[in-house]
Order: sequence, then C-alpha cells, then structure tokens
Amino acid sequence: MDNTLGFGPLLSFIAEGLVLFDEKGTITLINPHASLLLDRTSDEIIGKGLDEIFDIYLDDNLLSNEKRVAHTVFGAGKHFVVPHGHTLYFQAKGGIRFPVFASAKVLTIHGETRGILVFRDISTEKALENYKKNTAEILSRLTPLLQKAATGDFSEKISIPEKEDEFTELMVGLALMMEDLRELKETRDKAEAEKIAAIEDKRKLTEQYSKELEKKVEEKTRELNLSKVHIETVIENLTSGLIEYGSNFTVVRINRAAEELLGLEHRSVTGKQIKPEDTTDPKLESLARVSYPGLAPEVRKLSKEVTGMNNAEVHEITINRPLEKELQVITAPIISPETGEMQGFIKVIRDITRERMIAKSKSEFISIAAHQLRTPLSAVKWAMKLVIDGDMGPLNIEQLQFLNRGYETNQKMIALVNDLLNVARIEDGRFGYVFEKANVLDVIESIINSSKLASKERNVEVELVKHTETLEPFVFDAEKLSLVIQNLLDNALKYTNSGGKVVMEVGTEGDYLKVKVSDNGVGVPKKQLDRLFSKFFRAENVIHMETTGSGLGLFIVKNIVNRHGGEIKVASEEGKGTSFTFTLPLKEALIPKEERLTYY
Amino acid sequence: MDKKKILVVEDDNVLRDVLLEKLSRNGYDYRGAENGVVAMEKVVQYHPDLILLDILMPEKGGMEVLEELHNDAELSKIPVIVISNSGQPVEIERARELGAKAFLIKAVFEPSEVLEKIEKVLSGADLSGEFDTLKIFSPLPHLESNPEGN
Repeated sequence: MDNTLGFGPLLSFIAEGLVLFDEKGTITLINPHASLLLDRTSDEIIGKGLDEIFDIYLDDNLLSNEKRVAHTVFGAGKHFVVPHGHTLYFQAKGGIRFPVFASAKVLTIHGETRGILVFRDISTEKALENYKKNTAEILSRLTPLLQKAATGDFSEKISIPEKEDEFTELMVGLALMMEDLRELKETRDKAEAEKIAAIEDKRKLTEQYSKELEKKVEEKTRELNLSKVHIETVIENLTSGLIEYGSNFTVVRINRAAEELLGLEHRSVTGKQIKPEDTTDPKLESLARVSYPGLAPEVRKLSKEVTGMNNAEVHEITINRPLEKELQVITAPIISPETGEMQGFIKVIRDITRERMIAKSKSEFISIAAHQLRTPLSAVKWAMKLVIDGDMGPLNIEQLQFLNRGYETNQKMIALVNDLLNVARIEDGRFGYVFEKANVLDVIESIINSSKLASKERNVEVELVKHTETLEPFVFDAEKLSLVIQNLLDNALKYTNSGGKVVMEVGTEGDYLKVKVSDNGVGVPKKQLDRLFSKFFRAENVIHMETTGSGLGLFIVKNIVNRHGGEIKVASEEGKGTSFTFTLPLKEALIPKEERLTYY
Repeated sequence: MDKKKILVVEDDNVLRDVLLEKLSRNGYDYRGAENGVVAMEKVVQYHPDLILLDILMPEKGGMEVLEELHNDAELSKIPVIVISNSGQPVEIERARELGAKAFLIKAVFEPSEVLEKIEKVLSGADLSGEFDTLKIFSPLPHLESNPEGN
C-alpha cells in the first residue's frame, strides 16, 4: 500500500502535525511536522499503535484507553475533539508535554478507510492565554489595592504568591512600594498629628494669652479711668483757666476758671468752633480774643528766649468782659506721639491783672525815685557846690571841709538812689540796653582815669594790664559796661587797704573778652562767696568798715554781664584779696536777643 | 560882644537859682521860667541863644516844649540842652529825635559842668557824637568824686 496515499509531498509542507492510521490504530503515515512535534522519526512511529506510541493528557490527567484517539474514532465511531474548556497535552519523547489543538476522524480515501489525526502545538497560544488569565487575576486582585492606595490607604498588604512568575518581581516591587508608601504615610500622619497637636497647643496658648491681655487691658483701662478722673479733677479745679481745642479751633474742654475769667455760661462753648468773627459777639468776645490773641487790641507776644518755652507761645492780652482784665495766654500744641501730627492745642490762661498793676506801680516808683528823690538831692548838691566852688565868696579851710563832708554824704545818697533805680529797671526788664559797636579799652581807660583821684586818696595803686594790644571794636552797651567796670573798680578800691594794689587785666579767650579785676584787699568770707551777687548783700567782714555800700552794685554788675551773654566769677581769700573775672561775647550773635522779664 | 542869652526852664527854685547865679557870674544874660507855658512865652519875647530845659514840670512839660520848638522852623534853630533827673532811655531817645543837643542828669552833673556844656554848644561844637558817651548819659558815677578836683 502506498503509505503516502499520494499525499506524501503535499503533507510535508503542512505546518500542522498529521498522522494517518488504520482501523487497528496502527500508524500508516506521519508528516515531518508531526514527527518534529513528537520528537520521533517516521520510522520510529510508522507501524506502531497510535494510542500507545505517546501519552495524551486531558488537562492534568492521562487519557484512559477508551478515550484515546483510535478508540474514539474507530471504537466509538466519533470525532476526536478537545472538550470545551479543557486543554489537551501530548507528551513527546523525553517526557516533554505540550498543549495541542487536535482533532481526528475517519476518512475514506481511494476506498480505503483511514483515521486522520491533525494536531497543532498551541504552547504559545496557551502561554499567552495563561498569561492573560494570570494577569487578569493578578490585576483583579491588585485593582482594589491600588484603588485604596490611590486614596491614600496603604493598609492592605500585598501577598506574594509562592510560585514565581513574571509578576513576582512586579508584586515584590509593588509590595515594597506599598510598604514604603505606608511608612511614608505613617510618618506623615505622625508629623501631621504632631503638627496638629502643636497648633492646638499654640491655639490654647494664644487663647490664654489673649485672655490675660484682655484682663490687663481691663485693668489698665480702669487705672486710666481713675487717673483720668484724677486729672479731670485737677484740671477742673485749677486756678488758671484751661481750654483744650481740636485742630480746627473747636473747644473740646474748658475748665471752671476759664469760664469765670472769660464770662462764659457753664459748658456753653464745648463743641463749638471759635471763629475770629466771634470777637463781635459780646458773649464770645473774650473767648475769641484768647483763641486768637493776635486780634486783641492790646497784645504783647513774649519771645521764646523770654518764656524759655520752645513749643508754647505766650501772649499777654487785654479783655473787657466780664471784667477788664489783663491775661497771659500760653498756647501749646498737642502733638500725637505716634504720628507727630498736631491734634489740637491747649491754652492756659492766667489773670495777670494784679501782677501788671504791681509792675505798673513799680515803674511809677521808678519815675518817682528818679525824679522826686533825685531832684531835691540835686538841689542840695548844686547849692552846696555853688558855695564850695567859691561862687558866693571865699571860704576858710574849716568851712570848706564841713561843706565837703555834707556834699560827700549827699553824693552817697544820690548813688544809692541810682542803684535802687537801676535794680528796679533791671527787674522790670526796662534797663534800656543800647548795643553798639565801641572800643572797650576806651571805656575801661576812661573809668580808670576818672578813678585816679579816689585811688590816690586811698593810696591804692591801679594797674591796667592789656593782654592784647589789637582789640577790634565790638558790640556791647558802653554805658552799662562802664557801670560794671566802675562798680568792680570801686569795690576793689573801697575794700583794699592803704598801700594795696588793684590790677585790671584785659584780654580775649576764644569768642569772648575777658576782664579780671583783682585786689589784695580784705577779701570775702568763703561761706558768703555764693551770695555775693544777690540783692542787698554785704559781706559780714565789711559791714562794720567805714565804707558804705548799698549792696546792690554786684547784683547790677551780674545782671549787665549776663544780659550781654557773658559770665562773671569771683575768687577770694579773706585777708588776701579778691578777684572778679567776667566775659563778654565779641560776636554780636552771642548776645541774647531780648531782655528776660523777671516775674515775681 | 553882646552877652549870650540863656533861658533856664526849671520848676525847682533852688536848681533854677543856682544855675542863674552861675550864669550871672560867668557873664551870661539869662531868664528863668518855672514851667513850659512860661517858657514858650519867654522864648518868643526873649529870643534866647540857648535853652536849658527840664522835662518834668507842671502846666506844660519839657518834652512838649521841645516838640513845639522842633515843629517851628525858626525856633527849632535855638539849641536846647535837656536837664532832667528822670533819664529813662525812651526819654533820652525822644529828646535826641527832637533835636536836643545834650541830655544831662542833674543828680550826676555839677553846675560848673552844665556851664561847660553850654559853652561847648554855643561855640558850635558838634556834640552829636557825645550824645551817646558816658559823660552825657551816665546816670550814676559810682565813685564819689572829690569836689576839689574840679
């Protein structure tokens, strides 16, 4: 029998395994692909029983004899097919089992009945299928896990199957990753918890702090209120008037004294804006004048040098209502300590009517003293002088001596009146300074010259020492300075014993003229030195001396020097002598601008 | 040479008489006036060469007299020496403005010094520079000067 049945060459090209067998199950033909798959040569197979030559497994089970191919096809007369859902495995020589797709049936070819088995190695398909299945399974297992992980839940652990496959590595990686993520999450959660706890602590602390602060603010407010009440009481009961204004002249507060001084009804102006035209309203006239001191008919603005106040302005004005009064108005701005802006201002009002009256009577005293006292003294002086000069006929020595003593006493009276007059003028701020450029050495020399007789009489030498020969003329009040020099020289001569010496030194030191008058006279007791320049002071060691003095000379001297912007100092040792040193500024700019009023 | 005519305007009798006595002894012609009203009459009648003028006087003060003289073209030519015991700086300044030649504080000056000043003014010496000097204004020489020294 043609064992190829004429298919031989054709079958060898088919990429499927093909086996022909007869009714006894004996293999009659096998193509090369089948021989390759089964790992047997055709010689090894042909003539052998199909159901014996290799084992067939359905899934994991070896097929029983009656289920085998030849039995099924010829014995049962059925088609041999792989049941659905199962996999058929052939076992090649060497025991290698491989999945196959197989089918077998009976064929009649050229009148001869033959069984035909066609099979194909489906290892690849099967592997792919397994892979798909496995992947799907793993994915189905991983999906909920990953889904949880995506929401931040890493609590589920990935179990790694004992059997290693291509997913193992991925699973291990995933597991590790999940582990890491879980740890990370735990760390983060912990940190978060700590942070939250910290924030909570802080919140509690803040709450506590703000409560304490609130308490403190309450306490302070209470304290402030108390001190405010205290201040209010003080302000209300001040004898000086006090008005507080907002920045636009609106009256914020006015105390009782101010209301009384200005003739206002109780609290009638609080909150009212005061305008310049209110001066025409009889009820507000005085308040408007105080508010705008420049509008008052008689106004005197005191300079900052006089008042010694930098921020405040001081005016002296006259009001007519409710009573004619002279008022001193001090205006001071209220500056915000935070912004430095002016928030308003206050005015302190003082009734100076009485002070002014006293000052006025003082200036009246000045003219009385000047005229009424000096005129009779002048008459005595002139009448005596006329006789002494011999105009009324010659006198004998005794007559002349007595007249001279009377004349001297009269001169002392004149000097005393002059001193009193000067002190009164100094204290009234009306000494009438005239600052002009002059030569100071001329003034000093002329006074020394006019004192020559007195020094000769007392047998006291006067020496002028010029430490500088070139002294440019500078600005000072020559008349007042001559008073200074004369007083100092007079004192030195008076309190230096016969045979003594007075030295007048003139020099410069920086921007100042420096004059030193020193004597070797009786000196001043140390404990009385600091009172030397006060009014009516006479040192106890000279009170009993023959010489007389008003005790006003050095007071006048000090005032004149200070008015020039200079200083006077004294050094003395009792029994040894005294030296006065005073300075005068050589530059006009160093002279204080205005005479400072002295209040009492 | 004619005697120079001096008008002494002074309300204090002693002071006026001392000055008149002094003027008489020094060869001057003189008249006295006890207040400003009399003074203005005598100025017109007597035509003095120089006026010694007190400031504080009854009826009419010296400052008013000075103003009237100053405002009259003819009378303003008569030199005036103010003799006063007041000597407030404002008064001195006002007197200077009104053309006074000098301002003497009576308590400070002696009659002989007043005479010296009169001579100076009459000789036409320019005293304007002296108006500020110590000798004219000093209200108070402190040291007692020896009367024999003059």
